[in-house]
Amino acid sequence: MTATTTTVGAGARARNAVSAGALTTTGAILVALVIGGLLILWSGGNPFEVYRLTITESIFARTGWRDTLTQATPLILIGLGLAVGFRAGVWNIGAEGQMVLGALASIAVLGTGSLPAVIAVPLGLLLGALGGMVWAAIAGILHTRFGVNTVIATLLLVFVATSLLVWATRTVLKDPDSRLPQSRVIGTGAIGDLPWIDTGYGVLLAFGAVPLLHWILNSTRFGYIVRAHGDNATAVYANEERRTLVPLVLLMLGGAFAGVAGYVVLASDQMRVASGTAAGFGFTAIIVAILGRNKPYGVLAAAVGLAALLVGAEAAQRRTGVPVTLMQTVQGLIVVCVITARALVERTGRLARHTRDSHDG
Amino acid sequence: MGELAELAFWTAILASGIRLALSVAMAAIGEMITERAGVLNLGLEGTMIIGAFFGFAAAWRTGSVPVGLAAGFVAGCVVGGAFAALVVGLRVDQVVAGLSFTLVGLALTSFLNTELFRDQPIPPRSPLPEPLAVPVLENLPLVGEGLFRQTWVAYAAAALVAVLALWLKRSYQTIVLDAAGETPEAADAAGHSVAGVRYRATIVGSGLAGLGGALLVVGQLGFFNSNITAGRGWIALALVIFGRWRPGWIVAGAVFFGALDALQFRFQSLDSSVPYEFFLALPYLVTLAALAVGSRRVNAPSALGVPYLRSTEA
Repeated sequence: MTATTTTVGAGARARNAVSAGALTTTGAILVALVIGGLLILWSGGNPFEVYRLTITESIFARTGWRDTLTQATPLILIGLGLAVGFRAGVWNIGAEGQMVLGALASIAVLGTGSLPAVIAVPLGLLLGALGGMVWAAIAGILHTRFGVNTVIATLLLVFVATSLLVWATRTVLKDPDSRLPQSRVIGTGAIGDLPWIDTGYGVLLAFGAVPLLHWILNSTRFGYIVRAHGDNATAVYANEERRTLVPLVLLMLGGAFAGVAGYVVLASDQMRVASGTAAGFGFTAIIVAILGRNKPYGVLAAAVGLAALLVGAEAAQRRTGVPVTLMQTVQGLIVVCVITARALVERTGRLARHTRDSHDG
Repeated sequence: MGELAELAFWTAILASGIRLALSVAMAAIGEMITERAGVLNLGLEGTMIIGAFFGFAAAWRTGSVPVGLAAGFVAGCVVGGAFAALVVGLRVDQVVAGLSFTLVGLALTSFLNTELFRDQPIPPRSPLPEPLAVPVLENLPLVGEGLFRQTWVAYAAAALVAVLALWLKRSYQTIVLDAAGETPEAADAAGHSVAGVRYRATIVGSGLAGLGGALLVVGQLGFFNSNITAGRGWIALALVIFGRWRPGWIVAGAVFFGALDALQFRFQSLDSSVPYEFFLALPYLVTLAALAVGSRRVNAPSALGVPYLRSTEA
């Protein structure tokens, strides 16, 4: 009897916690939007007009919907990979570079040949995953073998990847028929668009990966180790999981997701590799993972939300002249407000518990 | 390649190395102070660029270099105060908070830059400090140009770094600072407020990072662009680890990295058989290599990144 009551109580508490968490996040986002509104006001714009345009142009306009999904696709993919790592306390902030390597690996093979699409597309996905994975593994080995902090290692490799990209598109991968430093077009490796929403098929991959990762994280041994590692790494190691394996594997997983995103963006949107290939997706995906509380469905919501914000902001810039950098600032402010709000809620919760406990005692 | 054998070549490399090192060294010393109190500030890049922007805006508006530098320091302190309120006051995860501060800093300065100077016909420039050569000493072989043919801002910055290094070696506050970062319980038991020490260390450290950004823009370049710090904050973070939380080593590392960067520029025109992109990547590769060699023998503050919760609060 007691057991049943406890379970029911826990279930109700969990549900309350979920809605309270969503409420906190929503409130914090509103605060960030208000601050953003004040910035718009200061720059001579009309905040209501800018926000109205942002929403209508990104969600209700047909092209906006399409652009939002196109932008959200790499954010979801990269965000998922990062979230699994973050969940385990393994910080990877170099997805930008891992994405570049994924794109480079796939164009290096697909840019020259004329493989049939049936082979080219799966091969592109595989090469993308491998490219990103290998790049992340460098950071992983630096961490596990030499004790280098993963934040620093993954980040510094972004700058190295950027140099590699500049070099490759200027020399070995350069399109000989072009005067610009860019690769050949992807050719048969192109992914193509879904009928009537005109978004690349990659969006299916991204949306499909969400429930899959949700299941892996919550219902498999791997997922259990990831979650346990985040709560208490020492306990996982005490249980004889090899000390070096968890961070290495999770960094490589994040790299693979980023590399796949690199291929998807290349093959369904940009068609060539050039200096703008990663376009900041790797960094924005960090925000996506944090806002989504490192949970797959949270990542999905955050990625679509942030993509809509940016797509709308670009439309708003065309119409009102308020620069896109403002919305990037708002994105950053959203994160700051959300983490502040979550900490405040947790603190009041702890204080309430503390007071209650001392009254009981 | 005969140029490489000439003393004049290395004299010039060292001179530009020292110039490139100053702003990074200042930010790295600031971060070191913050970290020794137990707070990891990954918002360093954002703090630097905010210092750079407000320093530039102030120097441009008033036409005064000292005012610009002061504004950079104050802006850094304000950012540091906000960061400390989050990570010390509310005990928010330091990695998450730091990353988001960097994102806000980069985007906000980019936005403010377009907004503030929208009506300017040409990109505005701030006045640069006068060069000030020390007679006789400036002609010393190898080190003469680097050490004695700089601007007064560079001398002042170098002096500040030296004073800070000395103060950190000798003062009682340093013991309290290290206690807060190594064994906060002991600092607490000795009657020092761990939160207070961490607040001060974060604010001062961020102020120095802001000053570092201002040194770059107000003291050397005279103009501002989006993302003008270009990863210097991250290099400064790497330097703190590379220098193992000791000011002398951090300064030496900064000069070494600076010289490497200067060498990269020279090599671009010297020898075309090696792609120039390799030299663009070299500072980061060397940093990674240095970290790989140095990280095993760390003496990182034991409580780095760990929020302090007094037993009465638990």
